[in-house]
Amino acid sequence: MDEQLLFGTFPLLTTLIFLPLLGAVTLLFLPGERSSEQGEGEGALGLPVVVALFFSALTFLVSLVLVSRFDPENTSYQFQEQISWIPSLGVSYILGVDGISILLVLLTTFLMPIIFLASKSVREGRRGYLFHMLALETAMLGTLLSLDLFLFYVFWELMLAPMYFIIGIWGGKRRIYATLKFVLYTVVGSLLMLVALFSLVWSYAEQSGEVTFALNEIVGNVQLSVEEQLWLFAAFALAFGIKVPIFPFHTWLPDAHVEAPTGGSVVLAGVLLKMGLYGFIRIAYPLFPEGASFFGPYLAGLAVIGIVYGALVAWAQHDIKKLVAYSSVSHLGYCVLGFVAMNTLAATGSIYQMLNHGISTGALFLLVGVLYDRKHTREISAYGGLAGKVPLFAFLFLVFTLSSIALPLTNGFVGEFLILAGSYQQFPTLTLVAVSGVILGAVYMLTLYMKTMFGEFHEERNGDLTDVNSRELMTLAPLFVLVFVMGVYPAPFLGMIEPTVAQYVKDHHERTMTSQNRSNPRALPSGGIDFARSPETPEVESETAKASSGVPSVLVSTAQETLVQQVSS
Amino acid sequence: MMTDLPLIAPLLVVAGGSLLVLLIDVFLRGRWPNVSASIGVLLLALVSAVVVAPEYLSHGTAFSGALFVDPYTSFISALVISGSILCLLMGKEYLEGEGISEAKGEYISLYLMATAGALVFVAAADLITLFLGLELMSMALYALCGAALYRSASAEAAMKYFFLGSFSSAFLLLGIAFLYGATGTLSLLELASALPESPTGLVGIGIALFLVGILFKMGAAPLHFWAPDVYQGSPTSVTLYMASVIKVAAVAVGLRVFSLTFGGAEYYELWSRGIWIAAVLTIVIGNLVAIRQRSVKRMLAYSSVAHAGYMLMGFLAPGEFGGGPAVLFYLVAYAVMTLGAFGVVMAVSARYQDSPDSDDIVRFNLLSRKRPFLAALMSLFLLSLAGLPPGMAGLLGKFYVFNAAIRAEYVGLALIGVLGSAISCYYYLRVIVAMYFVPSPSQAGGATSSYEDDCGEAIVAMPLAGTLAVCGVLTVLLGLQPSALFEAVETLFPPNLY
Repeated sequence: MDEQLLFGTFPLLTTLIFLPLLGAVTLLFLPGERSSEQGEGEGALGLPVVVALFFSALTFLVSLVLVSRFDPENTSYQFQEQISWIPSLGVSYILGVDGISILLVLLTTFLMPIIFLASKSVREGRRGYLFHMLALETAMLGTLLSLDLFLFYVFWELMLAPMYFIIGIWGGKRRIYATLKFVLYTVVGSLLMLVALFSLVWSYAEQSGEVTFALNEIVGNVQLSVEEQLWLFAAFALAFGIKVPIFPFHTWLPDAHVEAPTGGSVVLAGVLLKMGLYGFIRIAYPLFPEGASFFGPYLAGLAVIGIVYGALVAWAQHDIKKLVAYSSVSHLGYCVLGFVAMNTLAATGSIYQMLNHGISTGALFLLVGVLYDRKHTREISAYGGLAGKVPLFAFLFLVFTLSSIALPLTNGFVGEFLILAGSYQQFPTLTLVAVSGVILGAVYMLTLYMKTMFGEFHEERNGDLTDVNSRELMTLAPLFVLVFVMGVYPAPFLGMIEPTVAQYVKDHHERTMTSQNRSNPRALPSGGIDFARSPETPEVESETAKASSGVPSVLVSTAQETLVQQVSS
Repeated sequence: MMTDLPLIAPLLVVAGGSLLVLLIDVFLRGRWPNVSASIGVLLLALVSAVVVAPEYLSHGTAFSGALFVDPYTSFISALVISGSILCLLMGKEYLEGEGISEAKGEYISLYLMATAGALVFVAAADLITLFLGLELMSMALYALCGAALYRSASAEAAMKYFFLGSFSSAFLLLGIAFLYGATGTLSLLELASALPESPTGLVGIGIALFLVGILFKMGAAPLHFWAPDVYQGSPTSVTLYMASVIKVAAVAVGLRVFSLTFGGAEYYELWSRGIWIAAVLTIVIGNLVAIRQRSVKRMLAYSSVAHAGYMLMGFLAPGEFGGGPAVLFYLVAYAVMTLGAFGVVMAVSARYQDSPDSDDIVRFNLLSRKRPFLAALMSLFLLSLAGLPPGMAGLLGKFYVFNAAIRAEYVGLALIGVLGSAISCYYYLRVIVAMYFVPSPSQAGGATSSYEDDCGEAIVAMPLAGTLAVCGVLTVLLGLQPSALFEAVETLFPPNLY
């Protein structure tokens, strides 16, 4: 580790993480809530919202500074900070950011001010809502940035309580059921992860004589038998898979989404769901390469089931929000598929698609919120012919719908294309099935659009509907811009992701190779990766991995411009 | 002998205080010996515990081997005394409403007597002293449980506790007899060296009977049946004392006896199996039955049963595995959060003391609206009991205990513990649901206005508010800076002795 990076300059990441929490605490000391809420002018935001906006905007600025000083070509962790926390158990406070996490951090800090702008629709106890949102932001950023397994666990669990309160207090009618399901699913997964964490740490301690939770030290150094790897990977995969959510564990998601207030849905879809896959990327795969290559194909299979099943169920929904929620199951399936394929192309696409999903689905939830604020129903059948009545709304809805179904020139297209192109090398059959999800996606989203925006307009029911107001426009405009920026010119974004991902994929294959050599090759089914064609030495291996993956090697190895040209042509 | 007297200054102060309160009460019926006086007494005791602490740095015994003089004793004594002070402070106002005020002198006297018993219990270095301490503590407690003179549930609790407690004491005594018969010694230290050469059968029976007695006092399954009824029936100010101080004493003594005296490899195999079964039963039963409770007090009683199970996990990982310090850390964290949670329950049920279901979960509805800070504190304690951040104390406690268990290769047990604590989220969060999520009648539209009067109120006097705040701060701090406490408790287990 570079000394200068370790103990250098200003603790940028700590600032980033705890700035929102500072805002949350500040909220507690604001003067009485009632007075600020009663002046309910459409323009006035109220002091608590202004404070929350201020702190989240500041956090966003800090993250922009972070991005500006981030070196994309450096594939190791940057801006590292390290303080010992519980020395007797080797737990430290270690933070760091790399090409995989940096844009997710940016997405988080970017979405939060939007959520606060949209918090106007929270009528009662708004200050508490803002408090929990800011606490949640701290937890999410902490999860993304921590490089110590226990610290990660703490932040991971910390995400639970604020979201629980957000859905439970400001949610819909069945919120108690939804929160319970949400918490129990997550807790079962994460507690199993805790046990796996300890097993891992103690097996490593037996080998190295050193008790540590530092991710960097354990990854690549720990030697586990195949069986251990399988068990531990399964425990982690369950925790992360529930969060994603991967197919059989997804049932908490639609309930949580439907009951959550608009802001809660946005942050749930926008960031929280990404944490599951992020856990796979950051922890499960690097730690247990054998487990990963064993379970990889199954994960891919489940992801594809999720894609198709999510899409089919979304098609059948009567409730707009539930439809969008199931579409999330489907979209996250692509992200998982892309990552599991484990080549640079697909994995880059997977991370890019996580950003896209945050933007387009976040925007869709905001739009549903706009409708719900006015008419207090989300039934598709309650609407119809809105395009004539609320043209601006209809236009925005169209744009985000198209982004969601991955039309070229929108961000969704870039991500999905990269994923499908990449994963086809690995799982041709599964990818072919997954492509049907793209078509189904178009079917259900366009059906939704048709039913709500076109057709007969019910004057008596929706006659009083007003168009998107300026505040709502302010929340949607940045997302609108990003849809096209990321769709037309993805180079700067991909440029930040790709080098790290390329290194990551290379490292992963090397780890799989070495542990494959160490253990009995027959102990394991061949997994997703064809080892037979790979030579023994790692350097050559990565070359052939590119060659054998059938992608022009230029595309993978050279700079992102090539990638983009290929994509957009 | 006389030179040893300063070493037991805290005990002398508390026991003397107890008698003094009783005596003064005869002459100044109900005037002078109020709660604050006894708090003064306890504070004094704490001071004396601190004063003698340097003496306790050595690892010796006093009174011809009757009492331990070591850091472990010093630490647990300080914990017991500070716990008692917090309990008394919390219960100060509550006493008035329970009809206890008329018998205040006796109440305080018994309270101090129980604390004195606990101090003997945790310091005992031979089995007879241990039994004496246990009985002194228990007898006073039996009476305290019935202190709410005008509530039949309180009398019922006292009777139940008395009968069952007597049985368990008899088991313990029989166990002591077997151990004495097998080895010819009562000293905990000498027993450790005498056990390997003694007849296995007798020792085995002795250890098993001893375990029964300790499990009963800890409130661990399958000997937990008294706990819910007694916890619920007793005045809440006594309940929180039982759930914190008495549990601390029982666990600390159990830990000492099982890791020091029975810690040798010969018998570990034997009792570890028993404790393993007890731990599994405790975790499963405690957590599962807690789900069905309507009374929050009873729910917390079952939860404290479940927590005894997590602590038992640490018993199984003695010595280098770090189970001992882990249990002590857990004990401190548990005491803090349980005190806090019972304190809030006391504040709420004090408001509805006239009705039989004063601690029903419905009473917590709307608490977040009417008493936002109380509700926030309660959420913190509950999340901590469930082991979820920001309740860091509970999380770190589980962290240490599970860690020790896994290190000692009890992965299966750890998994059961983990599933238990996942279940526990359900019932802890139910209270949060009541406090925060249940709509107010004006929101729901339908309910009557009396509903709003029937819930969500609380009586929070100054001392209670202060102690709750202390517990809240500790709950967060213990988790953020666990090393300070953990390293301190680690030094209590010198490798050559434990």
